[in-house]
Amino acid sequence: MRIGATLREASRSLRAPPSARLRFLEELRSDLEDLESSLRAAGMSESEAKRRAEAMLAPDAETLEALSRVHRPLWLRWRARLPGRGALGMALALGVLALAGAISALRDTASVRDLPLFLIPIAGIAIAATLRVAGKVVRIWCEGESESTCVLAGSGDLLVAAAGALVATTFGVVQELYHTASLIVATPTLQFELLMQGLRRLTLLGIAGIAVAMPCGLAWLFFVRQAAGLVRRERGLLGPDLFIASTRRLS
Amino acid sequence: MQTPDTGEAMNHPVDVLAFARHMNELLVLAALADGPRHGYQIALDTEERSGGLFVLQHGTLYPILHRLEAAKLVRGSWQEEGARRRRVYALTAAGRRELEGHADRCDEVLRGLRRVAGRRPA
Repeated sequence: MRIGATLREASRSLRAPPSARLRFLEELRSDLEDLESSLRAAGMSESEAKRRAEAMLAPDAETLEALSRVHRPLWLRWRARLPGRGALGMALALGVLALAGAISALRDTASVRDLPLFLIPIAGIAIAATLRVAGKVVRIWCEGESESTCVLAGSGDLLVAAAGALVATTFGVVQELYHTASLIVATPTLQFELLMQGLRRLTLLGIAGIAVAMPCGLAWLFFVRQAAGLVRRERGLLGPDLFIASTRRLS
Repeated sequence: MQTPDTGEAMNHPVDVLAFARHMNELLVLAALADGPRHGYQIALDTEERSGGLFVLQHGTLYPILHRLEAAKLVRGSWQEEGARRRRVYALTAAGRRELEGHADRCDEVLRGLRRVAGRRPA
C-alpha cells in the first residue's frame, strides 16, 4: 500500500501531458518495486524494505515541480516570456473589436439577412463547443491536468452540444417548412421560386446542424476514449483501491 | 595570452555557476558512459565510483533523466525482465560528445581552482 500511496501523491502533484505522466508513474513504480525486492534480498523485512525504498525514491514536491517544468509544452514556455497579461488583454480586446466590426459589416448584406433564424443558436452552440474543446485541450495537454477524471470532466457538455445542434436543426426545419408553406399560400404565383428558396434554406440549415453536431459528437467520443484508456492504465499502476480513492477525491 | 606567474596559456572564462548547475547532468552522463542503467542504479554507481563524494538523491534523478532524454543526450527504453518492466537509459552519440565536452571543462575548472588555491596541477 505504501508504494501505491507514493504513486498516488506523485500522480496528484505532477502536471504533465497524459503520456508523460503515465510513463513517469510506471517508471517510478518499477523502480520502487525493484529497489524493494533488492533490499529484501539483502535481508531486510518486507515493511522495512518498503519504507526504505519509498524514502530513497519518492520524489518530493520540488522534484515533481522540476519534472513538471521538464514536460511543460513549448508554447507555455513561450507564454512565460510574453510581456505580462496586459499585452495579452490588449490583443484579445483588438480581436473582439475586429470580430464585432466584421459582424456589423455583414449584418446589412442581403445574403446574411436571408439566413435561416435557427442558424443563430447553432452558431452559438458551435462557438461554445469550440471554446469547451479548446479549454480542455489546453488544460490537459498544456497545463498538464491529465488524470483520467480531469480528462473526462466536462466531456458530457460536448454530447449535450451535439444533441442541442440536432434539436435546433429539427426546430429550424419545422419552422422553415411552415414559413415556406405560408409564403406559398400567400403568393401562389411565386410557388416555384419560393419552393426553391425554401429548399436552399433547409439545405443550409441541415448542413450547419450536421457540421456542428458531428464534430461535437466526435470530440465527446475522443475525450471519453482518452479517459477510458487512462482509467485502465491508472488502475493498473495505482491499484484498484487506490485508484478508486483517488478518483473519488478528485471528483 | 599567458598567466603571469606560471606562463601557461590562459583559458576562456568559465561560468562557474552554470557549470555547477550542470554537475548533476554530468554525473548522470558519466554513470551511463559504461553502459545502460536504470534510475536508481545510476545514483548507486555514482556514489560508489566517487567513493561517496557525490551522492545523488535518487528521487531527484527523474527530472534530470527526463531533461537529458528531451535533449536527446540519453535514450530511455523499457526493458522486460520476466513479468517486470524497468526503464533503462543509455547514452546517445550526442550525449557522449556532451560528456567529453563536460570532462574537458572539468579539467579546466580544476586546473584553474588549483592555481587559485596555490596548488600545483596534478
